[in-house]
Amino acid sequence: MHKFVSVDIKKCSGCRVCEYICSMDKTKAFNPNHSRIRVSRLYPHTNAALNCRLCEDAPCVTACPRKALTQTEETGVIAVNDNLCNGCGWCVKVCDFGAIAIDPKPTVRICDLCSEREEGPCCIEWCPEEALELTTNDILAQKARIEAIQRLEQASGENR
Amino acid sequence: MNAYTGKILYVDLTTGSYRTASFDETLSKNYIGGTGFGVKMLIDHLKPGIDALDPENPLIYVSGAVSGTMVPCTASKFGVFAKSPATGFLGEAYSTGRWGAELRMAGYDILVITGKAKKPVYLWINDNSVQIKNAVHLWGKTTTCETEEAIRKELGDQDIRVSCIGQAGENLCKFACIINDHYRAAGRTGLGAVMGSKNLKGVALRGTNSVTVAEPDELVKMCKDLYERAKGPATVKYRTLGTAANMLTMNAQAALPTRNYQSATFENAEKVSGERIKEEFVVKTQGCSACPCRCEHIAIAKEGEYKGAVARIEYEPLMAMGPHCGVDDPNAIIKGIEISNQYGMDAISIGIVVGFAMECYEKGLITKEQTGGLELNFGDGHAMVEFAKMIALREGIGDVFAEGCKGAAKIIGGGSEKFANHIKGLEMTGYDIRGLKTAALGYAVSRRGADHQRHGSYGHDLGGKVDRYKAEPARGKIVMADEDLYCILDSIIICKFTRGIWNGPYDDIARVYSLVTGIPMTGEELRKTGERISNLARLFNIREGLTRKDDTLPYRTMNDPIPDGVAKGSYVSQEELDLMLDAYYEARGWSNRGVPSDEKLDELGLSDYAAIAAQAR
Amino acid sequence: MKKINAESLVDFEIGAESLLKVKIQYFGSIRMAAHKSEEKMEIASNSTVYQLLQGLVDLYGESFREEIFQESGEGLREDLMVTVNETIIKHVNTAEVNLKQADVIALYPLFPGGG
Repeated sequence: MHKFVSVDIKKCSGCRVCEYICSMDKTKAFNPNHSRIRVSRLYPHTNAALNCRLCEDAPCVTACPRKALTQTEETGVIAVNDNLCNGCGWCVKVCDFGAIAIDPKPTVRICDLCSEREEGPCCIEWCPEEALELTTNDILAQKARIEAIQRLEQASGENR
Repeated sequence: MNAYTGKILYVDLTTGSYRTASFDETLSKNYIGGTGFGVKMLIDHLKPGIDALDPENPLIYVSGAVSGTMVPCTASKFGVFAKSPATGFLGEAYSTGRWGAELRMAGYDILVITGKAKKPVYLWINDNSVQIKNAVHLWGKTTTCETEEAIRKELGDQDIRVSCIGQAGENLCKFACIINDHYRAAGRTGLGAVMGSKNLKGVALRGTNSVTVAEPDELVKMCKDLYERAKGPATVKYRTLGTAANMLTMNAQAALPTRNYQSATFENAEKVSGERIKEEFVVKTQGCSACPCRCEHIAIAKEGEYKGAVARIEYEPLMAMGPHCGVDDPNAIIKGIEISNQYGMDAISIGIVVGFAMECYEKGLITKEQTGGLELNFGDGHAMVEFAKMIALREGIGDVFAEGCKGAAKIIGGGSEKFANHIKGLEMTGYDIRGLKTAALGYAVSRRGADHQRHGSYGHDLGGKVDRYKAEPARGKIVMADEDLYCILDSIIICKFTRGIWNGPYDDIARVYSLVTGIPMTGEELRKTGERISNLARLFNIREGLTRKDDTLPYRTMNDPIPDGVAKGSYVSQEELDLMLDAYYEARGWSNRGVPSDEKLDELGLSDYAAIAAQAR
Repeated sequence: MKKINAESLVDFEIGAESLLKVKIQYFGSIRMAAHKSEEKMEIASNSTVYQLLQGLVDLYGESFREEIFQESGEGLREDLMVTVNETIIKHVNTAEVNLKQADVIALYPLFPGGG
């Protein structure tokens, strides 16, 4: 199972620190538009930072007409071949999470798990709420099961 | 330059045209950004003596020196300046959220809007593109849920940031504000009315440019340290209860404005305490751009006729629409704050004005017929909310109170000036300064009018550093130092909630400034810049007619002693005020009429403005 | 009634005449660090306010200490208001103010530049 950066929507405060540090790390300037992780704030109080979830059978890879995107077997990270990418945006269209953006170069902006960084993803390191973690879908399912059981136990305890 | 865009955008709504201009390091180094930029631009562009609602009154947006970067709690802060319709002096207000960073990314540090459009419009700035768009369909609509969302939908981009007015600004309410990003406001001094007087509904922004810094690696390293501090003990109280925790503190010390400052303690303070609000009403706490503190406490009304109302809770509006109106129902208060947001009114002033109206009603100066049947009694949350709406829409006698306390008292007469609690025309804020003498001085001399945010000097009175009941000359230097520091905080622009994370604090701030902008700056140069900006702001006000007699306090503060609590019997006498004013002016290097001396202006590099001081002498 | 058994307070002996019964009230985030809004305590008869604060830190630990004292050094946080029987105690005096029987000590966080 691929590990990806996942957000806990209950903890995310919409502060955008992840966007600032990601864009600084990748482009040496501050620009949330260039960040690989993007924050959305929905009125009245929903916040979430979304990025590439390294889908097992990534639709963006399949959709690319020029086969410019490849998914690394080992990590699941999606790499782009700059020579082939023409910025058409099919990959953007098929991504369910809005995790891809097109850079005018053209090239694709997509989370690479900060694979060049020894400490790993900088967004996780900097998130003030610790709302981001490197995890797999299996682990997320496990957490959901445990929380559900805890709620059940609490409810049945209260009924006694 | 780094970080600074070096660009000013001038928009003339009368001709429907725009032009850009450049600025260089001279402006940056001497005025920093935020307050410094705002005051400098306003004094240079405003025709002295014109009416604040005249089309030629420039409405000026400014970014902070480090806006658009990840320096903690600074990214999106911006300021708005114009001549204030409420005071006739300096109008200034600050906001945050997401709009401020976007201004820089769109390519501008300063936006100057003059003139008046023939029909309602909004400004749409999208990187290089500047358009004046039709807003006839938005006029009469509320700010957040209607205007903001409508503009985003119409322009097809959910990331567009909008700073706009509601009906209160359109109706030229003297304390109308400008709302952005749903919950944030450039709140005080009636800048929403200036916008409304230009037929300008709002400013929509979208910017895609990067913000560069001079030393990215060093800056990130320094930010790591600052972020750790900002997540730590210095800011815990903002994250947990937030400023609403002040409620019980002020109540315990008889400094809680209650029933239009008739009392300084509120018998039902526990019902509207920060502790209770957090426990029972706050559903989420979120943060502004690049903020590790997160202090936006979003509350939802749980029951009653206002169930479902959503608002951000801070101490000031909680006080103004709570104890100040005698109201002890958080549901009504939350609705009141929501109304202020939606209609675009200063959430402090509306509470002070409604409380003032309640005392007018109590004394029979206004009647039930005039209020459209509303029994405007202290403690009636429903009446408070409904009257606030009437004011925003200028319905019935709401029209009179939309003029603010000062204006309304003039019209109503009957001795109401004696309990209209304002300074220079700006409504009082959440501290009963009859028993906080350092704060009283700060309020009296604040350039904006009644204001705790230009000095924060109540910290000395309550923090156990001075005798709060005594007026001493030493307070002059204290308030001056507070003001100059806050000038810098408001120029960089740094959230005052993070005051505790900056060591020095001038030294740390100067270091960050240099790392971001590449402009060399020491702590002392920064302090001097704060003094420069304070003096330039004083000159602006003097040019608009300010004299020593305007540096005063509300009648009640100086004549009605606090009747209850530990501060019982305390008030500020004219002798005490004069003593502190003399000391403050002396500390500042001003004459005892409050006019900067030539030496002082020379020292600060303000000789170009010496004529203003000369004329006042 | 609870006794503080902390070294920072002067030695006490069990016996009514050598103990003071005081009430301590906590507000805002300080309440969260103490996990209660108020309590009654018995402390040594010649305790100062400062000693009481040190004793409370020993009792409630690091998160409480952070609410009361500066990060470095022994000074109290600038944004802390300490009152004894509703009178604000100057920080510089806390080591000199001796507590008396039935004193009520209250601790409040202040908010410079708030709201």
